[in-house]
Amino acid sequence: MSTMVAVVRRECGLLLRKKKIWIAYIAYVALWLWVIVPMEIEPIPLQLRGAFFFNRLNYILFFAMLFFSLIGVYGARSTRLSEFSQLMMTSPISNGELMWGRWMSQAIGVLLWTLFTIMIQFLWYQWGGVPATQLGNDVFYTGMMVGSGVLFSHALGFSLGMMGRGVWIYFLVTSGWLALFWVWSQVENHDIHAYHPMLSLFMPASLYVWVDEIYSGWGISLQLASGLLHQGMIAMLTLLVLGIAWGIFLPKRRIPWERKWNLPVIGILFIPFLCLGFLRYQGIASEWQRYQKEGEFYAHSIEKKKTSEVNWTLETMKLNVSFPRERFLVVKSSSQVVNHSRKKKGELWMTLYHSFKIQAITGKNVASWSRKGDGIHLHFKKPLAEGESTNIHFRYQGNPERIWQQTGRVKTGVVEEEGVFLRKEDGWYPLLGLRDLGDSWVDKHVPWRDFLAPTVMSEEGRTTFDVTVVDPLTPYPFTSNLSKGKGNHFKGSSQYGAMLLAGHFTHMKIMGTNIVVPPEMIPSARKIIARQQPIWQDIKKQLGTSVQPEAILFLPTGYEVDPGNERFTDQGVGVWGVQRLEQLMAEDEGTTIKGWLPVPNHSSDTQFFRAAITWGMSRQLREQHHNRLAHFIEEQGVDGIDGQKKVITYLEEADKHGRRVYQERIRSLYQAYLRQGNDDFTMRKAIQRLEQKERGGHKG
Amino acid sequence: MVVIEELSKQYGSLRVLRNINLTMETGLFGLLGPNGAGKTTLLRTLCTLEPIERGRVSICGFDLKQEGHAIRKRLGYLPQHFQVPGSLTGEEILHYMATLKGIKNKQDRNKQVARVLEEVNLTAKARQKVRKYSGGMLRRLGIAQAILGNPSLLIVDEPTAGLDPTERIRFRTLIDRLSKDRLIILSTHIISDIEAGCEQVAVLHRGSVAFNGSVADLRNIATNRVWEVTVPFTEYEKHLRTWKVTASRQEKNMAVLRVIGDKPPVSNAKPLEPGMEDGYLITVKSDTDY
Repeated sequence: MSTMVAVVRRECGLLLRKKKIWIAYIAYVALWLWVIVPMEIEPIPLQLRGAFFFNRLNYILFFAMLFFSLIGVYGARSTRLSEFSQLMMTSPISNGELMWGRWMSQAIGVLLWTLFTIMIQFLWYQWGGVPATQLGNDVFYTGMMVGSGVLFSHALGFSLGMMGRGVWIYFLVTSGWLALFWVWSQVENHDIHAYHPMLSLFMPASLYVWVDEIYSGWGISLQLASGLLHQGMIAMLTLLVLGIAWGIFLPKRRIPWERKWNLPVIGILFIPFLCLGFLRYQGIASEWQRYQKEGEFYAHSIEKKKTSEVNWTLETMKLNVSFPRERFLVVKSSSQVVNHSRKKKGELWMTLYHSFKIQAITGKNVASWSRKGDGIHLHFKKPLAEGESTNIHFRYQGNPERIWQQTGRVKTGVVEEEGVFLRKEDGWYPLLGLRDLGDSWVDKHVPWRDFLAPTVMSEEGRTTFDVTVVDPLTPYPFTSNLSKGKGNHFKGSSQYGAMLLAGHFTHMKIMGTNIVVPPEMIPSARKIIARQQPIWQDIKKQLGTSVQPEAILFLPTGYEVDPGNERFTDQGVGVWGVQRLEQLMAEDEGTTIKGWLPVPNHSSDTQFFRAAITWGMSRQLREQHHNRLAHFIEEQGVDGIDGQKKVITYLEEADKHGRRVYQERIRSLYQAYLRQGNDDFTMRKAIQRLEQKERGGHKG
Repeated sequence: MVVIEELSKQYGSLRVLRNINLTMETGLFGLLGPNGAGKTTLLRTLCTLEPIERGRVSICGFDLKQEGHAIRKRLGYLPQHFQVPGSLTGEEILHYMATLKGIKNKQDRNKQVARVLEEVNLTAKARQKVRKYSGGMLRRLGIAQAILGNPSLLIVDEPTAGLDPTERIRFRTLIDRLSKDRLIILSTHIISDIEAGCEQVAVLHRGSVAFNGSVADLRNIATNRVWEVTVPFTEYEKHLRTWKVTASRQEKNMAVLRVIGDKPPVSNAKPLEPGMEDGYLITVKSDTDY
């Protein structure tokens, strides 16, 4: 052992005396500065250093793994073939002492690189005033992930270098890593919508989606446990790979002790690797199974046409929620529903997530109920006439957790000590009507590429909520899109519904909008809202419709759930992840306006109309296109625009008379749009009617 | 001390050692042979760097195949290309090698390092980085590391290649002194190095032992087979092609040639006292165009 220590000490000394090594480290620090400095100069970071750091680290880490594997190959070849090593081999040093000593001395170079990485992260976080808990968690996670991942790749290169003499090993290692990088970049760039989850098992570092059983939210803290397990497995694999290399390295030179112990040592190393690997496999497999079961459920069980009960409203909803343990909730609800149909109604469909076990559904007028998937079919004793109401009481419990596959694997319906996240769309309380709580289809060509996505749903009317959390489980305070009362009590009227949230969040109002935001993201939230607010006002002024969200939930680093691709769920609780924030900050004025317009991009006419509205609101666009509307419209690439010359001329004439006149015409067109409906709307028809009306007005 | 029996080795289809049989005892043992004769392979095998395929080697009573570790404890080796990290000082290299040789006690190590530095006359340059050493100093450092731990067997491969005459003489003296109480196997193709101090010598040729005996025996092979012939200088080229000329000098318009042959090449040829080089050349004559 002391000989090995001497080898490590001397070889380390040698390594650290090499100027090239320090040049490489300085270049690495410079690379980070190149990433960081522009972010600090311009207001891009949005206080989201964690997101930016890990995003960039993903790329750097891959190339570091490639680089250090090649260093490993080089190290092994020099251990086998260099003149000095050959001289060392004539001394009584054992193969193990020589091989492990040489590897460890190089591994210190890897650890030094890791140290540089976490130092950069630490200093950058400190500079940005990131809270100590997040800083500690993130730095530990980085150290663990980067350290073990890169150490493994170095050990793998080293072991391969021990096996063969040829330079082909360099090519083998390079092509192996580049292939892995290619697969990863495909997933990262969303070019493929899914990947087989077992791929995570073979990743050397827990990079976001790659390691966690599912792509859980709430930042690094929730990934820490699975990350530790995975990196533990990788660390054992590193030792195992080196154990095998030890067996391969000059087998005829082995001393009697090595001959006797090499295989048992490999066996001893194999056992913990196997155990940790099995735990990882089990974790992923069970989540995967659950996911597939859920996908199957939503592919076949729901009648998709019946989405809501249009003639009913949910007037009130009182919820008493307790969380006795993780992934479990117990709810007592009381709701009042009103029939608005002229006909008498003796039955009603409601929706509740199928995983809950319903203990009772009661009410003075409830005769019976049955369940089909997420749907609950209620029969009343006495049919309700128009305007009549009835109270329905539910008692149910179960696991609300749901796993989705969008750009990565995501989780909602979270009830954990680290946090709680219950969206209306998770069906955690009884919803009015028969609703789709998920959307699923299967790609028959790629068996694992099935798709399960959360749905977006809107309500016909407002509901008054009264939500009380009695057994909070998590130490974090609860928040909601509803107004907070005393303790964990929330009350208020909402058209969206009710969302419950606990975690590292603050509830506040910014420029009249309810914001639920992690404290470190408050400055970002202010910036974002300050940018959106004038646009919301302009849209309201121009079209007479408010698009301002009821509430916006800012999700922290690593959280990636956006319901659909919309900016906010219909009547207004925005759920904005880091990517969305980046997007919003990077957008030009025109794109931002279009993003909020209450006119969906449905046809070439609506596309044209959206461009016309945007023109009326954006000063920036007018400057860019020198006040030439036709030029701007042409640039939008609207289909069949050549046939719309008259319409363009009509709008241009209005525009010549000033912005106010133009906006008035747009408002009139919007009224026409509302009357015609999205499917039937055409610009030409709308303008013809408008002109007729104007002429009629003049005659009159 | 070293007994080699029927040692054979081949790389692919190339047989580099063929049924080598040699016995070496304490003292300086010379190993001669042309390039590619298998000298370095034989030495690397003795150093346990190359595995044995056929045959048996015993060193200090230990079987090389089974007890390589025990042999390495008794071995000092100076390879043909002695390369050490240039950023370390001579003293650091020696400390490193001493640790590898199992000298773990720091005081012992200090003493031994100081002793070997003194032996090779490098004490003054001990703290200088190796990259600043001259070729001779590097060779001496090589010897210093080889004799650390007082090995019973010292193997030196081409130690004087590239050294200037002064360094070579100093080196020979050192080797001569060290060979008093251990076996030193000196491999070289510089015959004078062996002639100066070896008692026993073996000539390897095409992987086989072409000669094994004393230096005098090697010299005696050429007895009555070395001649001096004086010819007009104009005929020099012609005779070079027909006779086996090992040396020549010019005297006025005449060329004086040293010729090897079983018979006098011309009637007036003068017999000469043979040297070791003559014996060596006769031994390897079959593929050497001397």
